Amino acid sequence: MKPSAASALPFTVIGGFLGAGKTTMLNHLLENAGGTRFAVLINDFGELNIDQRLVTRHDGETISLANGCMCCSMAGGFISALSTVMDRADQFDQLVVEASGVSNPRRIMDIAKLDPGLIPNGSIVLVDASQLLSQLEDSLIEDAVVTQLKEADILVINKTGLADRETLNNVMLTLAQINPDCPTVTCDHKSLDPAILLGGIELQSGSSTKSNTSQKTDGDHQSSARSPDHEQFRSCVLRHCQALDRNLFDAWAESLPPSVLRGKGFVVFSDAPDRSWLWQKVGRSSGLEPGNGGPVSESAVVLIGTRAMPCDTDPTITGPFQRVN
Amino acid sequence: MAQPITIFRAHKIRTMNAYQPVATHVAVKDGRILGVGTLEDLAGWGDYALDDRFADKVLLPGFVEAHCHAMTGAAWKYTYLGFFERRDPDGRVWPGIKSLDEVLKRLQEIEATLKDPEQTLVAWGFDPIYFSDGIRMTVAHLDQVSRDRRILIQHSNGHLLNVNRKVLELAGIDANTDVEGVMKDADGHPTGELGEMAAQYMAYRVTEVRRFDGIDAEDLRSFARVATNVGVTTATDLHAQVGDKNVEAYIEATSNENYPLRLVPAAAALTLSVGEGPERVKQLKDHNNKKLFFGLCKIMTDGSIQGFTGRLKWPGYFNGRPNGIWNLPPQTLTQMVDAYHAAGIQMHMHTNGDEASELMIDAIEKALHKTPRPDHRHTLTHCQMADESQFRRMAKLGICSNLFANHIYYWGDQHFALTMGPDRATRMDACATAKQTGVPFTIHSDAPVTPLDPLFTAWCAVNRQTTSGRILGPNERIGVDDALRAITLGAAYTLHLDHLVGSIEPGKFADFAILEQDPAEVSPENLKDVPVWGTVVDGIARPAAGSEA
Repeated sequence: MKPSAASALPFTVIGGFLGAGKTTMLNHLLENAGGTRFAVLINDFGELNIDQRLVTRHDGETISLANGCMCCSMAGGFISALSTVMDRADQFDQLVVEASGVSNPRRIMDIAKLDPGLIPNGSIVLVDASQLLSQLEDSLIEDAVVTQLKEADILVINKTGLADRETLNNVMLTLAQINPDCPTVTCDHKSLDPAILLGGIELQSGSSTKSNTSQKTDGDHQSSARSPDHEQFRSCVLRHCQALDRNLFDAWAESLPPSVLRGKGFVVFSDAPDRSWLWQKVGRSSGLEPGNGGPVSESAVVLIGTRAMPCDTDPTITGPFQRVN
Repeated sequence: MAQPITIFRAHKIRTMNAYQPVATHVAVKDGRILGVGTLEDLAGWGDYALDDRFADKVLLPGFVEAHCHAMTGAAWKYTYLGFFERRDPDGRVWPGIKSLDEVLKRLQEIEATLKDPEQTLVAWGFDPIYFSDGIRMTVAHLDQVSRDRRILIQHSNGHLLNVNRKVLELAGIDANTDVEGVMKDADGHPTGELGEMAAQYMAYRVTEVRRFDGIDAEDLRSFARVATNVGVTTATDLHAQVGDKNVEAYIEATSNENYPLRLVPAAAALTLSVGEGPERVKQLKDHNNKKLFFGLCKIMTDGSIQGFTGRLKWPGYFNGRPNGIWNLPPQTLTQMVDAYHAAGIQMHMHTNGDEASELMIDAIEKALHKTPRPDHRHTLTHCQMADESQFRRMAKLGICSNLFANHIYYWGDQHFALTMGPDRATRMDACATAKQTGVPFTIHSDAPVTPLDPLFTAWCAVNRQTTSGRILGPNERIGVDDALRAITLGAAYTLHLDHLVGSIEPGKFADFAILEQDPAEVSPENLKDVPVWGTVVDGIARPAAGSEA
C-alpha cells in the first residue's frame, strides 16, 4: 500500500493526438500559473513558446521560470525527466506530463498509482474537433486515438470553432460511444483555464466557502487566465458536521453525474470516527486515501462541474451531505 | 629501425573487390592498405617487414556490423541467463540455460559470491519462452535464491522483468496494485513478473539499478573486446544518446590508438527535437576521427514483431492480436524524415512491420520529391516484413535494407506459429528478394538482442534454419558469397563508409577479420563454426580473447 497521499505531488497527464492543442494548453499553463508551481514534462522544447523574460535558467533539459514553474524535456527519456522532477518534488505543487501524440495516458498514469511520491490527478485527453472524425478513419492512427479517448478521465473537445455544428455533434456522439460516462468539456479558444482542468481546488478547513457559480464572469479572454472559462464551470461545497455513513457516501460517489469533473475533500466515516480520508474524484474515477493529521471534525468536499452539473440543491449532488444554505 | 611497410602473408585473402577477389599478400603502411597481390607484386613499394603470423589463416575485410548497440559490452557487468550459449568480452563461454531449475542454480551461485547484502543481483537475457514445460518464474522461485537481497531479472526481449518478493515489497506492489503489467496468479497475488513502464520504473527505482544512464569509455572498451572476438572492426551504436557525456566517451575511447574498433554512433532522433536535431547531428561530425564516425541518425518507428508491437498491414497478426504501436505519430515521423533528409543527413530507420516500412518508404519518396538528393542511402533496418513490392520501391528510390537475419534462428518458430503464420513467415528478412530487386542490403544482430557474430548472422541468411530446425523460406536463402559480402562491403555501403572499409583494397583502412578456415570453402551449414583468430585494425594485430598474439 502506498503511504499517506497528503504530501504526494498531484500527477496529471495531458493526452491527445497530434494537433489537439496540448502544447498550447501547456504554454498557457506555464504563463498563467497563478502561484501554483507546476513542473511540466514536455516532449519538445522547440514547440514551447515561453516568454523569454520569464526564464530564469535554461539548463540542458530543464527550463526554470520566474513564477516557480519548471519545464523539463523528455528527450532523454521519460524516466530520466521524471527523476529530475522527483529529486526536487518539494519545490512543486503539481506535476503535469504531456503525453506524446500516440501515448496511452493510462500507462503513464500508472506510475502515479505506484509511486508514493505521486498521487493520480487525472488523464485529460484533448480532441481536435475538426480532425477527430478523419483521424478515426485513418487506419495508421485510429487505434491509438481510440485508446486515448477510452482512457481519458476528462475529455476536452478543443478547437470547436474550426468545426461546423454537424461535425461537432458527430464528435460528441462519437465520444459518447467510445467513452460513455466521461465528463466532456468544450473549448473554442486558447485560454481554457487549465487550473480548473487540473483541479486547483484547495479546501482550507474552516475557511468560508462560496459557490463559484456566483463569481462574475469576464468576457475578455486576454486579460486574465482565471476568469474566462469560469462561465463554463460551476462548483459547490458540501459539508456534514457528523461522521458519514460509508455506504451512503460510496453510493453517492458512484452515482455522481458525468457533468461533475472533479471532486476533492476530507471525509470522516461513522465506522471509524477518529480518522479522516482524502477523497478525490477525477472524471470517472474516484478514490479514498488515508488522510494525514489528527481527527477532522466535519466532512467537506468541493465539486467542480460543467454548466450541466445540477445545482447544489439536487439530491444527486448533495447525497449524504447537509444542504448548503 | 622500424620498417615503414608491413606485408602480411596469408593462406588466402578474400578481398571483396571485383578486380582481384583472391590474393595471398597485403601490404600495409600507416594503418592503410598499400596494395594486395603476391609478394612479388608488393615488393616494389620498397623496404618491408614480412609478417608471417597469418600464413595459415584466411583474411577477410574486417566485418562491419551496421546494427548493434554499444551496451553489448556493458551488459556483461551482470549475470547472463540466456537459453543460448554466449561468449563474454573475455572470451568465456556461458552455456545456455535450458530449464528454470538451472536458472535458479546459476543465480544461487552468483548470490553466494556477493558480499554486500545491499547489492542488487541483476541478471539479463532470461527467456522462458524456450523452456519446453512453459514454466514462468515467480517470487517463490526467486525466494530460493534470496529473501533479503534485491533481485532483478531482465528478459531477453527487453520488455519484461522478474523480481523477488523483497523488490515487490519495496516497490509497494501487492494484491491491491491495479496497474497494467503487474502479472498476478490465480489468487490475485503478483507473481513478480513485471511488464510495462510503470511497474518497471518502480522496480528499477527501488533496486537502484541505473538502467537509463548513458555509456562510458569502459563500456566502449568492453564492446570492442566483444567485437574483436568475432572479427568485427567497424560497428554502429545504432541508437546513440548524443549528450555531452556520451560524446566525450566516444571521443575518449576512439582517440586511443589501441582501441580496436571503428565506431559509428547513430544519433537517436527520438531524443532530439525535430527543429534542432539535424543541426546537432551535423555538428557532431566535428568530433570525427579515424575511428569515430558521427553523422548518421536513427529513427524509431514501430515496436517488435515477437512483442506484437510491430505495425503490420492487413491481415495483421496471425494469432489475432491487435496491431502494434508507433513510437511517435506517423505525421511526426514523416516530418522527421523530411527534416533530416533536407539537412543532408543519412537515416537508418527501425521498421519491423510492413506498415512501418511503408510509412518510411512513403516519407522518403515525399522528401526526395521536395529535396532531390542522389546517393542518400537511407536504410530500413530490421525491415523484416517488407514485401516484394516494397523492395521494388526501395530499389527505385535508392533505399538500402539491413535485414535481421538472426531473427530467423531465434524467433522463426514463433513467427511461423504465432506472429506471421506459415505464409508470411517465409518472407521475413528476405535477403534473396533484396538481392533480386536490386536493393543494397546487409544483415545484422541488433546485439545485445542477439549475439554479435557476423559469421553466425551470415549462417542465418544462408541456411534460414530456426531453433527447432525448420528451414523458414528456403527461397529466400542466399549463397555464402553474398552473405560474406553483406557482412563486409554490404554493411559498409549502408553506412556510407564503403570507400574506407568493407573490402581489402589500396587506400582503405588496414582492417581485417582473421579466420582459421576459409568460410567460402566450409560447408554452408558450418559457416557459423569457422573459428575467428581476431582482427587487424589500422594494420595492428588484435587477437581475440584466448588467441595467441
